Amino acid sequence: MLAEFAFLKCRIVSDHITRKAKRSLGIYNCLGKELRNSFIRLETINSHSVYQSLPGISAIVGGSVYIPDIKIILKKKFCYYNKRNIFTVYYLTNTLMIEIQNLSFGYKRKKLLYKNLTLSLNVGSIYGLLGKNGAGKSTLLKNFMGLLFPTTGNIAVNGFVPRKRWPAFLETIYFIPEEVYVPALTINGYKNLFAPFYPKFSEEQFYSYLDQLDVKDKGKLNSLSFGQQKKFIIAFALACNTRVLLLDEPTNGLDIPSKIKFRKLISGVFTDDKIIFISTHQIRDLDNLIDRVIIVDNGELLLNASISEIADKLCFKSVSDIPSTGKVLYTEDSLKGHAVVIENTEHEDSKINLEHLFNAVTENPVVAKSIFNH
Amino acid sequence: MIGFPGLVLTVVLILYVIIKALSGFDMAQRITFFVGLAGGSFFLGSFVFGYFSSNASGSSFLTLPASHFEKWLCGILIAGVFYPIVFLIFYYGMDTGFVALYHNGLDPSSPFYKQAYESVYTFDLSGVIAGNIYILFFIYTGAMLLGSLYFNKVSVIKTAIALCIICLVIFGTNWLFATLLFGNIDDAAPFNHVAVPLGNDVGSIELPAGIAKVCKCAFLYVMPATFWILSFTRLREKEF
Repeated sequence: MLAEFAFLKCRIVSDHITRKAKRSLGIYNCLGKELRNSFIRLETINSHSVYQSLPGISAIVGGSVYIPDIKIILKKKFCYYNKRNIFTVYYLTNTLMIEIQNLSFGYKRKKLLYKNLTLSLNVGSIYGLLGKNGAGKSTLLKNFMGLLFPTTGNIAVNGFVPRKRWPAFLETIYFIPEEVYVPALTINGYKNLFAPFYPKFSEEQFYSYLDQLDVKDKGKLNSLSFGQQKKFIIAFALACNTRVLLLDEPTNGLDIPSKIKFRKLISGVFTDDKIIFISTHQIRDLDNLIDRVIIVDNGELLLNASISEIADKLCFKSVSDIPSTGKVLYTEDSLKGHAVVIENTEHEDSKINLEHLFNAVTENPVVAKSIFNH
Repeated sequence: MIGFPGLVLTVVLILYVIIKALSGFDMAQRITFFVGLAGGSFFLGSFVFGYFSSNASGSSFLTLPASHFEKWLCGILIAGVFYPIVFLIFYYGMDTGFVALYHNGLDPSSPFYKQAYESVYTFDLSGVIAGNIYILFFIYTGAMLLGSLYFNKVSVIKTAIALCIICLVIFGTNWLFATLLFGNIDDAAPFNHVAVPLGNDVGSIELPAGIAKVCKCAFLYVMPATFWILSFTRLREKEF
């Protein structure tokens, strides 16, 4: 994990922190370094929580802190302290966006959906979150968004703790739930009311996306069909230009041409400084769109790999006879014989079949984990 | 949000006319003031934080980039400030109009003119009855704001039931203790007095002045404030 970050030789040590001493603590070695729009990481020897003393900056132990403006930092000696703790501060590259550490979550305390889930999502990727019904896909997105709170563990999104739902955090993230809500407003009315909440909203892009998705201005939004409402919200969300975009079953309710337009639009608007996170059980809708696949089942992370890594480690092909040697993760009878997913020991090139991949990983989680070294 | 206050004001107007015809001005003024202010605000409170009846609208509300305080303040301003102001203006106009109509309709040459004239006055918006209704308004609105954040579906009904249960428990407990302490009782108002029959008469046992003041203060200020502040805390902690 830490290998991804550049270590800044920044170690703050204090055994006896008094109120006076708190003020004297600071990340001195950060002074003079470029921290704008960057993340720093806080680590403690034990895992007690870090008190936060800087307005507008959130921190979690082991998590990252987003520094919105260099001027604030360099003029102040800011301190993160905890009684009898030793802090080590790392300077991170500007890649990490969502970090989950030992997340446990359950709707009932005794029945946890996720247990000790640890996951890092970096910018510059379109993630596809796959899982069975009830696997907790929407729950995970809601945890990212701060709509649900972890039972234990930490989540940091853009350096913020989502559960606090600070406006500065909500400006950087947009969540499209499976069922969208539109008030009784016209398209312009909606834009005029909600767009000012998103500083990077682009009116030009908004109308362009509406046009591309074929959403016509036909009076009040709530009188539109479900699919049209969904396309409207997708257009609005994309025009907000948030750094993180979470989509929960975005293609549900869309007709076939709209699904294609949706895929084109997502790949068109995606830039390297963003994360797009798509949760779906309609795997085919994500074909040629995502570049990383996350599979969760029974509250466990089974796979978190890039498309190239999957293609490198697994082979998807049709065979007349099921191979007796090697790791066979999945077989399915087909017209041409058997469709199989096997470990790619021969370094063969094959086209990834997400449906087969999903079945292979969920049916053989242990083998899949051993192949992907999880 | 705009239609609902309009509907309440219309209902108040119709109620006023009907009750006035059936039971006279006094009853019409009291009932409509209670229904319009405390009742109307109670229902409006359920709309203000009524986004949680569906997954989509709840998520949309909570993820809007505004602080919890701003969202809470919007609710407070709508249900606790703007609506009461609109209602009071409407009520004052309506009541004054009806009373003036009544006064103008009287025959000045009638021997009972003065008596009839003085029997009807506009509702005293700063009187004791109005004061009690203001308290109920604060309590009901606060309870509804809180209730709509606790109960996602049909929050109006659930909150109303919860309020009824709380009232029943308070009255019941008070009655039980009063009966245990004084035996046969005539009436028992929580934290106020116990009426005990004494032969053909009824005696009233009241709380000592100091304790009565504390109870009154709790009822007037602490309880409404608790509901209103708790609704803010609940909004911050709301998961959806």
